[in-house]
Amino acid sequence: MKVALKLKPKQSRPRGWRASVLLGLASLAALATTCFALGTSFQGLSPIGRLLSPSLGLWRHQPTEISDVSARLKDALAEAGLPPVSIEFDEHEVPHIKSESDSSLYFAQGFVTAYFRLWQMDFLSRITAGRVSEILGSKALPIDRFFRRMLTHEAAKASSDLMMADPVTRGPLFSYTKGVNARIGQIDLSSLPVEYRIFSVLPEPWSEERAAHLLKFMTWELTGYLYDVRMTASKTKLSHELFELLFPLSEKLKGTILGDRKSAQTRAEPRSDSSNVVFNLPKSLGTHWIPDEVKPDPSNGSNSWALPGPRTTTGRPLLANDLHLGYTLPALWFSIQLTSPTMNVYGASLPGAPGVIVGFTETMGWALTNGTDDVLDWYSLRFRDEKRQEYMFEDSWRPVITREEVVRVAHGPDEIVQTRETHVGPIVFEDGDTENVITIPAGLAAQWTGHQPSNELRSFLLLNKASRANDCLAALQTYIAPAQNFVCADRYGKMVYKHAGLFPDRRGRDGRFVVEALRDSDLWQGSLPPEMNPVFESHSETIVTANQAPFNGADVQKFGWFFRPPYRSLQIRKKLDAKKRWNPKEMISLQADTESLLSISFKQLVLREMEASPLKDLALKPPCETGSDSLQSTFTKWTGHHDSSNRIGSLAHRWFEIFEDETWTRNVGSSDITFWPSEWRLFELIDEGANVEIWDDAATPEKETLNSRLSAALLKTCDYFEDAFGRQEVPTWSDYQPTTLNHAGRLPGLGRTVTAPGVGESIFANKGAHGPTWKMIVSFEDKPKAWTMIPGGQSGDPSSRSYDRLVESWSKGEMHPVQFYMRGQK
Amino acid sequence: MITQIKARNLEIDGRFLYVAVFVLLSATVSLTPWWGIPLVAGILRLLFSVPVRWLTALTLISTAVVCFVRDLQNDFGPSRVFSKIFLLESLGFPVGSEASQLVTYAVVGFVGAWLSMMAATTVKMFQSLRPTRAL
Repeated sequence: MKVALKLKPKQSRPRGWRASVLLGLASLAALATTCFALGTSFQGLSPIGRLLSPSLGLWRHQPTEISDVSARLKDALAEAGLPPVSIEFDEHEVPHIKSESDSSLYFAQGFVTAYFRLWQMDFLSRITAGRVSEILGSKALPIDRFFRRMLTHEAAKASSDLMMADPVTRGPLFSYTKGVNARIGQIDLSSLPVEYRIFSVLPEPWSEERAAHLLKFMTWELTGYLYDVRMTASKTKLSHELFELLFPLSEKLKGTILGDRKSAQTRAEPRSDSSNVVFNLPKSLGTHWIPDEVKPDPSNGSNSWALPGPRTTTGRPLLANDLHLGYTLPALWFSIQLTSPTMNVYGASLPGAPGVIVGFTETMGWALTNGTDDVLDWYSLRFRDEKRQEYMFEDSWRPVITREEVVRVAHGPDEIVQTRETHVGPIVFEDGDTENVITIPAGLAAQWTGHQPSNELRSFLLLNKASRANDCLAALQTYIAPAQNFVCADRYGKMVYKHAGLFPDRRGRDGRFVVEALRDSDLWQGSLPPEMNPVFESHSETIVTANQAPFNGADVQKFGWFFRPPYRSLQIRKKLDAKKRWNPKEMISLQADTESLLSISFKQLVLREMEASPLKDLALKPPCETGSDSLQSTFTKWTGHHDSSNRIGSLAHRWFEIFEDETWTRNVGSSDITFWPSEWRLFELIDEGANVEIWDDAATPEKETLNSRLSAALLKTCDYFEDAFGRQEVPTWSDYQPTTLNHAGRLPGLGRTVTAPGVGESIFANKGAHGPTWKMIVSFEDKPKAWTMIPGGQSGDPSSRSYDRLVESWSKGEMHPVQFYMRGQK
Repeated sequence: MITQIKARNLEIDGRFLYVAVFVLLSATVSLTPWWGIPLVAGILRLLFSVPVRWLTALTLISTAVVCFVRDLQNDFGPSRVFSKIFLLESLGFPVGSEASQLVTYAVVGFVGAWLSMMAATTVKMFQSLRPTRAL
């Protein structure tokens, strides 16, 4: 090949051989370094070079498209020999699946859910299985160690066996699993979910046991608290008088769900003297024993209320529900409608489990809030010797059953985890733990309702087919865990409430403390009779649940002792009572309400104390100094709302946090180790007035008072804002509390930060990383009208536009109308 | 600029070479793992003494173009993911915007170009140690 050329000679000085060698070596070194960086796995992630590669990396990724689903599902159903289904996606990308066969319906649900959410369900099902390290590497080992020791995999296996033995759940679970696996079988390089590429793993076949793990994970999230351990530490530290002052077992509670109505059956028992409470728990003890990532948030809860027909403009009941859990992307819930000759249900499904968990049918609906009951007890075991192979029980030594399990670790060596089981329960914490050295030969074993073989799916699948509110009671007969408040309502005007679950029978023993398990009477004596579970039916009374105590009276302590303070429930009641009749759309703004009764209580306290010194004369500096408007006047004008642009809400919130933190740290100890009185109790103590010892520090010559404590906390609040946000102004609420939706696998960048209002105690219970994950309002008209919202989108694929499409709307408190198809409707 | 390349008794027109190298590099980017880029760039330099700056520029362009084509084929999903992973929103490039797409193509293009430049420079430096042949 030769063509005429014009040569443009390059004039350059000849380079010496030494310079060439040096330059060559330098560029070779740079090349090698770059290649090393691109080819090396960092923190368990796929090498960046592989991800960036246009030939094999993320550039080959095909986002999930709803247009592809129908054809692929048709192929999968044909291959499985199942009748076809019709599937349609509405404008909010919610699938409406209709089939003449339940097998096809659940198969299609499994397929569609896996199509959009495969990685999420795969990942979440690994948590209680103790298999997260297989994806995240060694940094997840604490999570796996914990759940292996907790024996959740055995509990999930037992529950899975139970579900497969029950005709109500066997078919749906089997078909759903087949549907998921059919989707997995279709996956190729371009359709492999992004996270699998990033973590350099492949999807595993789905199984009934993995579905059981997801349900166990939810049970853990809603009941897995170490409060007994912390309360024991509080009791150890406090004098008897002060303990009784701070933690009275009140029988007259405010704002309970049923008020003075009691459960159908009551049982009087003498209160235990707590003589075998373990007071010598080691100082190293603390909630850091549970890895932060899986430590249930104390606010895991929810709101639900049902308004009777006479209180609504339609004359039919209205049902509202919002589920408060940690925010994640992909969104925790997947909206779906399932229609067959046996059911027609719409609502939030849990990716990985068949059916709908919260939702409504053509004629009824149900809502959930966490029961916040005490269903997990920790027992101290007395070992025979340092070998810890035997423990004392009923005056004899019993063997500890020890097994070794292999935890596979991505990009690292496997780890052997020893599990240790007793007839009390698994020993989860004991001396020899590298992070928690206990100096006595003792261990803490758990009794937890989550360890019971249980089939909650049965209740939900029966609810999916319910037609009347009363059907709830039948559906919930076998419900065990997590204990929940179920509120059901129907188009015929009936409303039913049930505090459902299995509750341990402690026979009068105080469940607040760790006790030494030496005799059978120290342990649970079976469970409370189901007749004791609070139930309420009405056509005319409003039902409000927000994780508060279910009813008044001594019996409530058999269920629990750390129910949430009634701030949200009272706020809901207050708002509902302010209006005679409600129309469904007004519920949307009610669910977005940001007024906090806790903030109002604090505001009233501050205004009262501002009348006296030293708070009255406190010289404030920027950013707290509010210019011409005094702090008192600013507080007076504040309505207790926590809207995004509000500044005084930020000041009040931080001020109260510091005040509360200092009060209890000084009196009780660190919140990591000890249990603190609730905010409600703090205000009760203030109102009671005669509790000088809480404010005064005997070690100082000065006489500290409530007023001086508030003043000191305010100065610290100002210092905090100056350090964190500068001297200009107190930050707006959304700057102070940014709302973050982290990626479920904590992959940086795949989460989202938005501006959203609300505080933990407002109806819109946004705590920044925790709050409403499913919002639903249902009006039971001839054809139900409903509105829903999830923080995220239907797709779990970060490359899809639907991944976080609804986040902005959610943050503004908006909800979208549900497209609900009646049977036979096109 | 038109330049003459002579190698192994071949004299290639500069314009044609641009196109040939571009096509070859695009094929490399499309079909081989990431380490194919420095390998091919090094071979091109070794066999045809293609100037380093050509290789660098053409790798950048071909990588960006291949990324764009892949992105187009996949409903711009890949660039949305990279925009998130690169935290471009915090730098003022909203996810899904054309600007963020261009930035992702450029970032990947620069990585490819860097690999290509380092490989070609290494070969060039060691080539210069040989007795000079007529080029």
